[in-house]
Amino acid sequence: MYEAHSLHESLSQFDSGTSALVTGEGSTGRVYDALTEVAENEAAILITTDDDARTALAALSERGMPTDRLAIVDATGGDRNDTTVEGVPVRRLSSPADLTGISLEFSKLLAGFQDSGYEKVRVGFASLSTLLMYAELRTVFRFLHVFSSRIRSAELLAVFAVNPGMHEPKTMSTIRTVFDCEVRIGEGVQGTGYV
Amino acid sequence: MATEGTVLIVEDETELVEVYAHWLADRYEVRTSTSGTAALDTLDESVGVVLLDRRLPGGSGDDILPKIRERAPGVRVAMVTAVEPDFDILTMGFDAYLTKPVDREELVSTVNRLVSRSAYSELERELFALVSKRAVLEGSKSPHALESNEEMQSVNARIASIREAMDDELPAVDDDDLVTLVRDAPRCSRDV
Repeated sequence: MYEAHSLHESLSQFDSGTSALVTGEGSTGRVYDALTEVAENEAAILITTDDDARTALAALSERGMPTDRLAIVDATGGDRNDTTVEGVPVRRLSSPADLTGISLEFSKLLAGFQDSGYEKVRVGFASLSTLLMYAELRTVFRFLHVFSSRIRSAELLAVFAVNPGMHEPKTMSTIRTVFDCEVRIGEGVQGTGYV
Repeated sequence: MATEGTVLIVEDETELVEVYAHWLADRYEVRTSTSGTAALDTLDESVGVVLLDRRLPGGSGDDILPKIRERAPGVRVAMVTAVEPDFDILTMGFDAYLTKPVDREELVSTVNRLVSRSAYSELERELFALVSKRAVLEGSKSPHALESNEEMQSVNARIASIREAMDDELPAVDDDDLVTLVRDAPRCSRDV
């Protein structure tokens, strides 16, 4: 796994099929930034466990995200049941622990975009930290491994947010195995500046 | 422990049973049952895949499914049905579906796929155990000491080899693989 320090410059260099981990404070915001850079012939799917669909959409719109080719999987477990928010398709799940549901709804949204002619789709996941609070590490590991393999097979791009300070070093070490690369925010430690 | 070699066909139309068995016989050991109850008698942990007709006399495929899972927890079940079901059917516990009339290529490739998924799943368990072990090693030594540590090197080598084996089993992961492999994820670290 290699490290990068600027998400923006990294994304444009990522090969298709890459799953990237974004770590540090503000990682969710960086995931939103990554989605906002969606290209013309590309669609975007956000899987959110922290901000509900409406809040996430507001944050994306603020960044100038085009919303005509965006879909959201809202796993925050709120009690809303609308299937679109301001024209953006939303699929809702009862809990961040419903990894099967997340996988299912993601697959359906992906198929929808592919049927509409989008060959490229970028996926944002905010955040892994919440997932780890609701589900066992064992289950999350399986999910991440298979999900990132799916991303690789379909030649998509996925960016996952996590806050390492919330987890044991052993947990972070296990999670990191799954990812192709990691972008660390706010760490000038490596000496090449920070975003 | 389910081996990958045995397929149980549960189908009441005898001509179909013979055809399916013939298609699978050069790669797999085949058992057959013409009803759900007979299937449960024939089923044991050496069966890797069950082909289950959704409409069976004396009880639908859907009703038998939980009992199949009880008897042989790791078994993969492909439903054979006249009508294409919703993609959501995978969350019910089926691993794949085939719509009638089933052709040879479809049947064989579906069975092969389910066997690969089982193998991939086993490898993933080993991977998790090794990755966890590595995480413990990392916590107990300095980065410098780790570089020359033999146990660490051995663990890393095994991890690399398992990942290669997983890629060989499922070179391309599709939506069905994603949903079913996540659905069947072990819940607890101690289960591995």
